[in-house]
Amino acid sequence: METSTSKALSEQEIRDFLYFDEDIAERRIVVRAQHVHKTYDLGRIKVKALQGVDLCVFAGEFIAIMGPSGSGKSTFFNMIGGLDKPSAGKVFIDEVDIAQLDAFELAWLRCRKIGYIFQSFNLIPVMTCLENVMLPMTFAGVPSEEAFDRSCNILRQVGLGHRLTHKPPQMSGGQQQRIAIARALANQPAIILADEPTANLDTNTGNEIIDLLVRLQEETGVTVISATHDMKILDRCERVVWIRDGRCERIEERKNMDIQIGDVSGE
Amino acid sequence: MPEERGKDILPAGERIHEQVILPWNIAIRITLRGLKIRLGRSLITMSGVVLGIAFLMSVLSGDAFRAGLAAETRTKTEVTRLVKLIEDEVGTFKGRKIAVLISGPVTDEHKRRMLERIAARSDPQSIAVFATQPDRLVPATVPIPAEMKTGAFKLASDFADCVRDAHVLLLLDRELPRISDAALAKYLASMRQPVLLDYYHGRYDEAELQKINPKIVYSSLSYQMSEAEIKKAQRRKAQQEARSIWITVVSMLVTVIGIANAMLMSVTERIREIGTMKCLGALSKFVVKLFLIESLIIGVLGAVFGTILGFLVPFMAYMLSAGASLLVHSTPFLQLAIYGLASIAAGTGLAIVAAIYPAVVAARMVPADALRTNV
Ligand SMILES: Nc1ncnc2c1ncn2[C@@H]1O[C@H](COP(=O)(O)OP(=O)(O)OP(=O)(O)O)[C@@H](O)[C@H]1O
Ligand SMILES: [Mg+2]
Repeated sequence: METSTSKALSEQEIRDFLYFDEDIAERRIVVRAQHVHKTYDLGRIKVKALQGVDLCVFAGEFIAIMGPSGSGKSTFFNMIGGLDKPSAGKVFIDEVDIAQLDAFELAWLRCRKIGYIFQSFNLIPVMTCLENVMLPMTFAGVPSEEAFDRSCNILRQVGLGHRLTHKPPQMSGGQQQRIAIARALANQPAIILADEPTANLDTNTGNEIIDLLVRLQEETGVTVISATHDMKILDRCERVVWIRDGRCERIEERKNMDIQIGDVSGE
Repeated sequence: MPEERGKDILPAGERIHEQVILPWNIAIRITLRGLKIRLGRSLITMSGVVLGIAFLMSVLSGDAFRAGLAAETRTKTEVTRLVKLIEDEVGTFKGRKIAVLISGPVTDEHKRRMLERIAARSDPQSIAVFATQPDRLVPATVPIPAEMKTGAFKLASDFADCVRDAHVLLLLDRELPRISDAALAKYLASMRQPVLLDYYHGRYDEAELQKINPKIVYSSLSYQMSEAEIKKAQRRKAQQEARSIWITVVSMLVTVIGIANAMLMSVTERIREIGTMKCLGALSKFVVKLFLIESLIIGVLGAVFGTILGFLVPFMAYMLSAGASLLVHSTPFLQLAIYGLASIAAGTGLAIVAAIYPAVVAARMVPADALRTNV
């Protein structure tokens, strides 16, 4: 697919493109980043974390954002998740510039459209497993009985049906990440943003979490964007975005990957 | 319309909507559950408020108790002195007739208790009271306390009757008709002993009266302070006031800092949680609402407990040292009630301000920053 490697298409260009190519039009663009810059101002020095990243993510794909530590993956993840504001450039979700959204729309977006999974889980430690998953439903205005039933179902799906009333600190890292995945799925989002979901886990648990993500992605058709430097995720995703020094180095399809893995692990 | 964005290229249902505003009852439910879940932590935060307010209230009420007891002691000493002065003139209260001239109700604490003390030691019906109009010696309708209508007291309908055969005449009020020296001497002549005791100073001239009748004794009950004594008393009063203002200000500072510290800590340690809630779709307003309710509950409960504690502890202490009845008798309860209400209001207000400020700051942060915060 040509679009994946092409950078910086304007909105008009993309629209034109969609109308001309039926095949591509099928694959709707969910997230589009356009010349995204982020500079952290630390007083005397300015850290250029992102220096113009362009990316289109299609509905229903599993895409990995790869790169060495400090390359700007988390920063980019925050930009496309509406958790931080770019210094320059634009992020579109469903072709809506998220910088234009007001507080209510942004909250709706975070609540209904995007599910977040963090490296450090970010669960609310005093709440039970079930309450953690119910929280985004409460914010979405779901009545509590319905939220309860739905949360139980999702937790069963991620294999935690028997630990509903346990609190996160009493559970293993893998189990906590499963709660986080269940929470991300709570309001049936279109996009799941996972920032290094396996970084705090050992290899086996990490693999389980990746399997779970892949399975859920195949079952629900949700778009998964995962920032990572975990090579295992490479095997499972459709495309890999290589980020280095805040720039999008290259975007690759799964078929070209085998050659690249050795390349990177040598670094 | 915000809902219409992306309309032309997106299928229905993919459009961006506005987040629902959750009603107060959900916010209250979430807050109560949160308080219950972290009961231990909530109690620690609340104890910060309790201790702060208890400290402030104990300083205030301790001051009030001390001032009340000191005033009571002063009153007692003064009444004893007044009674002693009268007793010196009449020798003993048994078998004596005492005439009292008033022009208004006896409201002054010293006068009232002086009369009570004398009444307790006199024969029945031996204190003749004449209530006059302020300008002429004509009976006036003055509201007389119930206890003065019975027992040792007897209301006279005529001033001549009142003073006849009396051993002493007390001029009790500041506003009394001016009786000419001659008339006064005539009245005094009808008494057993021509002794005139004036509650105030310098109304008559003793030398003038003695020119008419050398046996007349005129003296004043009120203690005349010398210039130096007045200055000394004023200086001591100023010192005491400065000291109590200083203590109050310091204790207020301690309270403010204590409460602010407890509330600030309880919110700032949850900034990450606020970031998480915003990631999950909470509106900033809703987050602030949660903390408003929480700090209101903690503030009100803490301030009420603190006020009760800050009243009871000094009350017990003073009760042990001064005795229950004396303390209850001398305590200015109205003033204490005002202090109590002020403490409750201050504690609640402080708790809310100290919690809402960091909560608003955290809720307004972009979630990425809030999530990165480590306290
Ligand atoms: N809040 C911040 N303030 C200042 N600098 C920041 C901030 N966040 C990130 N940076 C800087 O931006 C750069 C990119 O950081 P980022 O966290 O995006 O890297 P990363 O690719 O996620 O790394 P890792 O794989 O270690 O998580 C780094 O140099 C980092 O120091
Ligand atoms: Mg990172």
